Amino acid sequence: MKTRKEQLLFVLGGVLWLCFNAPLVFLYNSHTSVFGFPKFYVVLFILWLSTSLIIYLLLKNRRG
Amino acid sequence: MGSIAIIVLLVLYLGLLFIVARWAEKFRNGKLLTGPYVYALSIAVYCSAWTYYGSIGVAATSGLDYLTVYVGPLIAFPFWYLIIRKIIRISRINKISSIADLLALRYGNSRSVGAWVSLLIILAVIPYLALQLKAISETFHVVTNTNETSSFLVDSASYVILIIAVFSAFYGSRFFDASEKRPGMIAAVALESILKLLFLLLAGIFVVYFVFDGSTDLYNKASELEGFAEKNRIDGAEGAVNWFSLSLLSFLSFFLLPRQFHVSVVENRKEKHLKTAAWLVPLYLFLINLFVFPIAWGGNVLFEGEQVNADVYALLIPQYMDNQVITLLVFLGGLSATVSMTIVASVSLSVMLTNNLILPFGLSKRIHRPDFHPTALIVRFRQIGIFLLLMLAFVFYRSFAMDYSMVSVGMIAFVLIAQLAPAFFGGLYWKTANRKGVLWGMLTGVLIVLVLLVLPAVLKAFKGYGLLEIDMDEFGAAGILDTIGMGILDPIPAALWWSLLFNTFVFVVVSILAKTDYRQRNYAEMFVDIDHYVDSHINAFVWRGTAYISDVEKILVRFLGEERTQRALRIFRQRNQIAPEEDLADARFIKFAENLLAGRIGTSSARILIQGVTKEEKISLNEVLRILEESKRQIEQNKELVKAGEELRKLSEHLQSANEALLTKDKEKDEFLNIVTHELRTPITAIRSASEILRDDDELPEEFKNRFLENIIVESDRLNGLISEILDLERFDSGKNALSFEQQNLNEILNSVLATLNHLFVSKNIRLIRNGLEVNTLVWLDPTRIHQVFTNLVGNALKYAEGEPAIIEISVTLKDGVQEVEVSNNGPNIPEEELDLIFDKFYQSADSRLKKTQGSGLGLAICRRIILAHHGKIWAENKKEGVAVCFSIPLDSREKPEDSL
Repeated sequence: MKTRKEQLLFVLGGVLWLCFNAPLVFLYNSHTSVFGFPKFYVVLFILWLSTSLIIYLLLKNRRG
Repeated sequence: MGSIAIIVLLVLYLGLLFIVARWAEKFRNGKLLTGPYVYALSIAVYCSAWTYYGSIGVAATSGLDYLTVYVGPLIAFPFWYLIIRKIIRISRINKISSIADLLALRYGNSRSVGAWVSLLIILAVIPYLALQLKAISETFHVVTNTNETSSFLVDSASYVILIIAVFSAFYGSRFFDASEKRPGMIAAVALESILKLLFLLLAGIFVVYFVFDGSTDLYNKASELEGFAEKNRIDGAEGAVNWFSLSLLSFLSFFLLPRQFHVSVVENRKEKHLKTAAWLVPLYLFLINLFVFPIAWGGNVLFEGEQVNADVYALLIPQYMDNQVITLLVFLGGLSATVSMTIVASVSLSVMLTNNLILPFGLSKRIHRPDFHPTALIVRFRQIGIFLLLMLAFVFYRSFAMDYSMVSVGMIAFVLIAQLAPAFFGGLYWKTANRKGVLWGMLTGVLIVLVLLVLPAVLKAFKGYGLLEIDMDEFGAAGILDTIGMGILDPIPAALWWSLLFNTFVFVVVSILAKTDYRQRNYAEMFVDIDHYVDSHINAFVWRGTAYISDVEKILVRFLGEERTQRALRIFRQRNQIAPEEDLADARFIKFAENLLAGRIGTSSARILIQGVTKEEKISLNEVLRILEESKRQIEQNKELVKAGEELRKLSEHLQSANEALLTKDKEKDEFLNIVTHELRTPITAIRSASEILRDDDELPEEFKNRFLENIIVESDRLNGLISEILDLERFDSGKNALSFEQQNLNEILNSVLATLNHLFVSKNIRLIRNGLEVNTLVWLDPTRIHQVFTNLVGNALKYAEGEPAIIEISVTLKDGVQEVEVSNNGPNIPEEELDLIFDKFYQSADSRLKKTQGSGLGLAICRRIILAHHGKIWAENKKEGVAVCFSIPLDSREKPEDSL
């Protein structure tokens, strides 16, 4: 891990393991409805989109 | 819809793909095709029929588990960027064309590693391909409202599969060089990724908003079904462990599946495209999964209590609602998912088959024969290979997979592929990892998977055929799984953990205990520390022996052709400064030749060929390490030299620009001296002429004498003023003219100047307008110098003001801590291009109207230096009538204002 960007990606990978697995997964482990979808799906999909956004922000070329 | 119509549609669809592929090959360097988005979309080949149909089936029957297939890759993406970047660097310099090639090269160009890895992958991927064929067959029957028949010869779906197999075999084997980019295939796969996503989204929207009255309505109805709550949450610790295990499995598969390796590594054009893929592919996976749950539960609601295959809900629902268009579009989307996966997987498998199995083993003797020209034969092998692999998959599907759901077969394939993980990750990050460790570890892991998963599945498939009537419970695998699963793990996670555990353990222990050879150690260094070697990898290759360039050249000609070989050799000789007559090959040439061949026939076969014409000496491990250390040091030195060279270049550029600046200054100085000489000569000539007349003509009338004497005095004064101004200017330019600051009111200084010049206003009948007399703010300035500026500006205005009446207007304003003064007249305008030039030394306008006055030409140049010394600005601008010269200085002009820093 030479650069800060690489270190951040590594940390992000670790955080994702935690967010999508036990015990943190039990925080949203419910089938109750949110906008017509089970809560589990809603939270998981929000995390999913956020991951895509974070990776984009981390890797975007600042020099354009 | 009729079977013939669907077959015609399929042919048209494949024709469209073919046209897209041909177009992409024709414009292979086009911006869109070589860009990051096509690359990212091609990575979505991960979403096969499994995603399109299988996920819906699992979501409907088991619930959340289908998500693990995508959560794994989602978690993988931050690591994926780092790891695939490393592999791309390794692959690019070694011309690697498959994952088997990568591992074979890492473990010492090993034929055995390449072969075992290829065999394992083929073993795992054939069932996976069978799934795709099963999807095509099942969906074909759904769309055509026909039933699967026991004889494949009368089953129309068999002919659909045959058409796809022929298309894949023809299209997938068009390139002889396996490491070459296939823009046509990638463009077609990218297009298919778009189609399958669009059509699945369309199906989802149709189900949620047209079949049901929105997501809440769907939820309310689905939540009344039996098992809804249990299926849509993780079931306690046991469920969490299985969830974690399956996520890990798909995490590993995303790196190890041959088709993923092919699109991510072999087809990568630029390393920076990874940056786009790393966020775009997760977004794609998100979108394609968005409606899986609604379609699954919509199907469960609509077909409650009926015996229907949940895998094909996406087709059954629009069909049930009698919507032919959506049914057909969903079928085409599924076809896209299947065809793209089938083509890419077939290409990668056929490359492994020829490069790692047939050439190094089946043709190992023939490839050395000088009359053996392999190009056409290898292409033919690949064509037949793809076709046979697909036929094998078809046999597998008809014999075994018909009774299994897509996901269960796919998961077994994933567990088999996961056995490559220790060798793959160990090879990239652990230098001690060696061939024996890989082979023993892999063998252990595969055996465990065979016993725990594959064998029970085979026995189950044969049950009832009268061949192997062994009961699963009698065989004991189910019991074993239950025991090792410790009552928590399902069969797939249990087999995954135990196989990986033993595989990794054996891999690590054997790697530590077994002796490694120098070739493995050489590649271990190059792989693990690729960043050190990426720029000069050819120098890091350790080889000692006797070989002749001419012998190697003959092999290259057979595989690359005469023209390409000669071109490659010419480039190599130029780059490495090797004379054309030099025939003795060194390590660099051997590596270069191996790379050229590796792209075509794989790293193992390339090594075999080169070994056939060289005599290699064995090198001890210590020596390898010493050579590598030396090489590393040389590379570092080269890097430092390059860096020093770069610094020298920058310094040289700096010196050059300094030199140019000096030359400009010198030229300016010469021009200045010329002008000064000319300006000084004018009054001196006048003085001399007048003095000569006075000396030579004694009879000159008194009146003329006095006039000449007056002229001498005026010209002497002018000369004196000119010299004073030149000295003044020089003092400013050399920074010797220190200002003496005190707080003063600008209007007061201006009043004093105007009082001195009042007689000129009166004599010339010039009207003075003053604005801003009320501004009495004190400003830090040098009063003498500002007095000089005012005198000059007002003096100039007096010279140029004209008309009836001639007007001079002076304004003093205060704005944002800056005082601004404007002195304008109603004389002639200055040409726009000269407005900045009037502040230059000895500037003379080309406009004759502006030449009428006498002056040294230094006044405004001195003004500019005075104002700059006060950290202010001075400029000129044309008015509707006349010209305004303005300056501004900060209230505290002793220090440079912050905003100008």
